[in-house]
Amino acid sequence: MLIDTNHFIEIRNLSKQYETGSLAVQAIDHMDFHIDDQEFVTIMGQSGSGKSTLLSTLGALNRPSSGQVLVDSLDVYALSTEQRADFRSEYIGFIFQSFQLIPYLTVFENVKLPMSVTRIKNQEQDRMATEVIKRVGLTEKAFRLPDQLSGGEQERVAIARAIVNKPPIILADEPTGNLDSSTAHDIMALLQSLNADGHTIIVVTHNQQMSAYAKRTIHVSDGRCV
Amino acid sequence: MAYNPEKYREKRERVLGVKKRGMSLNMVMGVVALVIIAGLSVVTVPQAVSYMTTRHLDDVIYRTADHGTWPSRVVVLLESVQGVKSARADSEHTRLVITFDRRIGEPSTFESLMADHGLEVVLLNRVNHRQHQATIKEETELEAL
Repeated sequence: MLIDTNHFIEIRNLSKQYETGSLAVQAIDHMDFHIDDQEFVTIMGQSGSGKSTLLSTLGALNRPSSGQVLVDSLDVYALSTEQRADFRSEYIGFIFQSFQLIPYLTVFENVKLPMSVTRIKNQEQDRMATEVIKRVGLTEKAFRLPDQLSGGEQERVAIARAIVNKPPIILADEPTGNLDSSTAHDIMALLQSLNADGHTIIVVTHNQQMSAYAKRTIHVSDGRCV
Repeated sequence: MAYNPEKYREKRERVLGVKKRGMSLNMVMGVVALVIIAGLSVVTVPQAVSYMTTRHLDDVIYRTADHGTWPSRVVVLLESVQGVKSARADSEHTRLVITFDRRIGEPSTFESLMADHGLEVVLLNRVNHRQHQATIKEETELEAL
């Protein structure tokens, strides 16, 4: 399960094929690339290019048809299901385009949610949640419900929830897709500052302007890096 | 930043299960099993040891033909006979209980020794030592009531 590598994240000859009826779709086609620790990378490509599949595969959510995903020397898909769940909890923070907040929980409760499966004591969970809510600038709205927040604020809650467990890697799938231009830039600036704090950020986007915030862009087309 | 495998060692160990979080179910079950085994051992081991050390023993109970007391020199001599574990007079010195290993000793040996010292005796009972001990215990408990 431990593999020698010189990179924090390394993708080796990765392929993913979906079967849809009688059709076989090659979402990822023999990809190879690496991402270093504390990099800010955007993965760009048109709709259907395989970038979201790539992100979910990187996040240990989508088993590839072949190839390896190495993170911190761990061969992610050689881990047992239980180990892979621990891997996600330890290493990955997810941010989704549609935020995926629980509508009947407050901001504070939504942010605390990922810690409910950890052994962190409740008092410490409260402290950590308060800290990250402050970090994303939502202290005043900590006890509001998601539908009482704007889209940008909901995105900030999603970011707070993603970072509350202090994961080294943050994966964001079109985090600005539902936001107006000004709010989108605010969110990218926030991700940039999280990167400065030491998080490795991987953002999937089709927006060229957003990739300006990253240190590097990986272009994906038809399941291949171009 | 260049990859440093040491940076996230703790996370990696937690994922691989090298660094355990609390006790696993197996460990809890192991501890419970150990407690049960230890508890049972406390109860059963002394009994087993006692059985192993006393299972070959018999008790013979004598009284002197004239209901007299037992001369202590004869009791000491009887204790030195091969196979005899103990020879003791009861509280009123009217009966003598000889505990012996039935594989080695024989009541006839004790009787000839006593006859050599001019003692005429009556064999009152021969009983398994463990059974005798149990009877004594029951009698003591009954007397206490």
